[in-house]
Amino acid sequence: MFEGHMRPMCCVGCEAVANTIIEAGLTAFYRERTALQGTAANPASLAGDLLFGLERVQSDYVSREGDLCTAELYVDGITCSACVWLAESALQRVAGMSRATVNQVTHRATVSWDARRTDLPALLRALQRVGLSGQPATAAAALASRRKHRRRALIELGVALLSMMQVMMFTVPLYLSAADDISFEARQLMGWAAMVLTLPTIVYSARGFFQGALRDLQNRSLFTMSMDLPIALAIAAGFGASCVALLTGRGDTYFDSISMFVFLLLTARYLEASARESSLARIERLTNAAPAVAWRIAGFPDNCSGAAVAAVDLAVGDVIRIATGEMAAADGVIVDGQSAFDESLLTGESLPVPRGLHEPLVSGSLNLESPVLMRVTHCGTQTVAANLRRMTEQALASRPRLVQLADRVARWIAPLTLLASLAAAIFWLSVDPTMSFPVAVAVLAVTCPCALALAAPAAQALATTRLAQEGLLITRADTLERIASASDVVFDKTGTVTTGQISINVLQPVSPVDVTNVLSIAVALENGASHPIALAILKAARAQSGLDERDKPLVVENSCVVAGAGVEGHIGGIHYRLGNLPFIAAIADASLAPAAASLFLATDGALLATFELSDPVKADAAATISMLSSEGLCAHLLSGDRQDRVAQTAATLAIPSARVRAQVTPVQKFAYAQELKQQGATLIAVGDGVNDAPLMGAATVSIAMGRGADLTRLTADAVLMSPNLQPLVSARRIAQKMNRIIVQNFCWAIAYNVLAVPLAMMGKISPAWAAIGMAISSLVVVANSLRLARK
Amino acid sequence: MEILILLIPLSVFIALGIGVAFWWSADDGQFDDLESPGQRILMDDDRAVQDQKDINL
Repeated sequence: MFEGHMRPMCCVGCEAVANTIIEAGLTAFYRERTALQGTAANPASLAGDLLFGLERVQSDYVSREGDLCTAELYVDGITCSACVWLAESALQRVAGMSRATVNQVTHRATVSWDARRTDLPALLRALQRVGLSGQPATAAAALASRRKHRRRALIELGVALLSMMQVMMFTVPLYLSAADDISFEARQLMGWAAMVLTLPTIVYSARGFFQGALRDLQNRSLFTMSMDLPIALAIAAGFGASCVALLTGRGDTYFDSISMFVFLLLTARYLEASARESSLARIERLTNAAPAVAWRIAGFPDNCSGAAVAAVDLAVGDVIRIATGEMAAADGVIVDGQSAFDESLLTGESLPVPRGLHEPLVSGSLNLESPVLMRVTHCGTQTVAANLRRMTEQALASRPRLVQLADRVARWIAPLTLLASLAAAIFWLSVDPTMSFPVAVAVLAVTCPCALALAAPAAQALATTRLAQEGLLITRADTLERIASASDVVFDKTGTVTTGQISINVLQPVSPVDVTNVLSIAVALENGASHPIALAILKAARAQSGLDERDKPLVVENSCVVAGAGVEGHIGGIHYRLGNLPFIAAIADASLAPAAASLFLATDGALLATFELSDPVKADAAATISMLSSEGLCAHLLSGDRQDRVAQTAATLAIPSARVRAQVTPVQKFAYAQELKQQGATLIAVGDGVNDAPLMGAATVSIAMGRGADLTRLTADAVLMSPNLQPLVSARRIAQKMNRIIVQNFCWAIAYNVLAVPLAMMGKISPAWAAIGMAISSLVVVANSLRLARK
Repeated sequence: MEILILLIPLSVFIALGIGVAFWWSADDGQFDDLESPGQRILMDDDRAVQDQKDINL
């Protein structure tokens, strides 16, 4: 009941939350909210967060000044501005709270509190009472430094912009007026004003360039030199010359071009830095998603009461409880219960995944349905999430071939620029000494290797991050480049183009019994079992006739499971067996059974039905392969499976039989790959990464299926985390787009420099235009790279 | 044109003042979040708990 209306509630948990919100006088939440929230935290999990009070957990996240503690929390469940308001109000009501602000875009809350009056767990409980869950976000130290960098970059940019605009105000009249319109005094005054306003740009905004130049000079190595030195020289020389001109009252001043030069350069760098930072932040979510505390059941299975421990203290073999709405703190297998999990952080797949007994869980999976107990198999830095993060960071840190090439070229450009500038100065000294200095400055300013130094890394970072979001993690830097140039893609069958989950798709009643009847017998025999075949039978029964195990169940007597063979039992006094060939052959003649069959149902003396177990092709496999071929990739299918099944899969996928091989060993797969390579093909191999190791090694690019593989030993170039194959198409498109953009940038940079530098050396470009040209050129390439971020 | 002698230095000081104001605001974190503060002002303070009958759930 809210404001006189009955409102439906999905569960008692929601009702409790709604009660709390209304009783707390926070009914405005319901009035202001614009979107419905996702899952709310279960009150049962509140106790677990007590542990955030532990020194050990806090020390990483909380920075302390006297009694004032500050931390950054990642608030889950924020969908609209009303949630922001709710979170803030909830936090501010805690006694001892000094400041709480929630950022709607990043979903991060900055909280400061008085350590004598409250603590972190109290704040988290306050959040959970209103249905939001909070977690310490980033290590306090890293966060502070990142924030400082971001703010400083913004101030540098802003100061340069302001200075540029104001300096223009003073210099444009001078350009526009006739020589004697403005008196000499006014002219001088405006010059001085421009000088004063350029000073902050040089002293503050451009200090990065001067520091870089100084560092280069200290290194004394010509080839580790960045473009900072020529840039700093151009700024200093331009400013010095302008000051001299101002003092003597003769010659040109360049204050406007200097401030514009600095502003445009900083803009390019700012854009590049924010692209990289957002890439990093997204990857950080992978590991930050795992909670810092877990509820450990020490005495499992005898004693199910537990205690909360810090996730860092978990050890392999511990049993932990994951309540509804909580995330797994480590990797493990379920030992009790079943539920659906949201693994979208890892796989990019938004549909919940059901997980039952003995099935694996990865850290960061969000439990959506019911509490489960899990035995930890990997924790800390060994978890899938931690490994993925490490691999992605490595890929981002290492530089692909194109970027390396760019680096090598850029290294030559700085010394060459200095030489060219010097040569031009000396040449002009002998022709026209007054031109010597402006020409030298113009040459310094006009050279722009930014396409090489800035744009390629930005393009690479953006492409890698976009694919990671779609579920394909690139673990080596030049993978993308190679994907773009590949000509053939070789798929493994089981688990790659098929789901790897057994299902029954062909059902052949041998004797005249009807299909439904056969299925009900099979379902009854398998009743209660949970292995894949039993589940597959149940699914087939449901699909066939809407039959359910609850509908008029057949009563089975003397039911008995024979391990590795099948099940048997009596239904209505008749003895039935369901199982493999030898098991059935003992009671009935199975010689008439088709060769494809691998599961049989028989009664004494008669074979009733044969089943074919199959592994269905992934829903998007055919579409993906046709899209890949329209992208110019030729698909091949290699499998160790039987000829007829492989042929059938190939037909579904529309792969011509000339490019299909069945019943091949890993060594034969390797030979096939070698043969293709000899014909001049560049191969992408997609497989499970473990059984296909030789094939993967032979291919130019290896892509492993991330499901279930041991990621710590995986050596693939990329890992497909998504259960779908669709990301392969995105990878091809994005990789080609990235290559195109990098090549465009290279062409632009070469054309620009080849045209501009000789012109500047000939004295055809004034220092002012040189500065503008160079800065705009770098903006062009950075903006071009940022196109990759667009969908 | 003598007025320029006053106006130009004045404009320089105003520009520097704006620069300092910008520096302060950016350093204070005013540009960290451009979304929520604007909406925060639209949210009323907590309304008092209303009639008892509304709360019965």
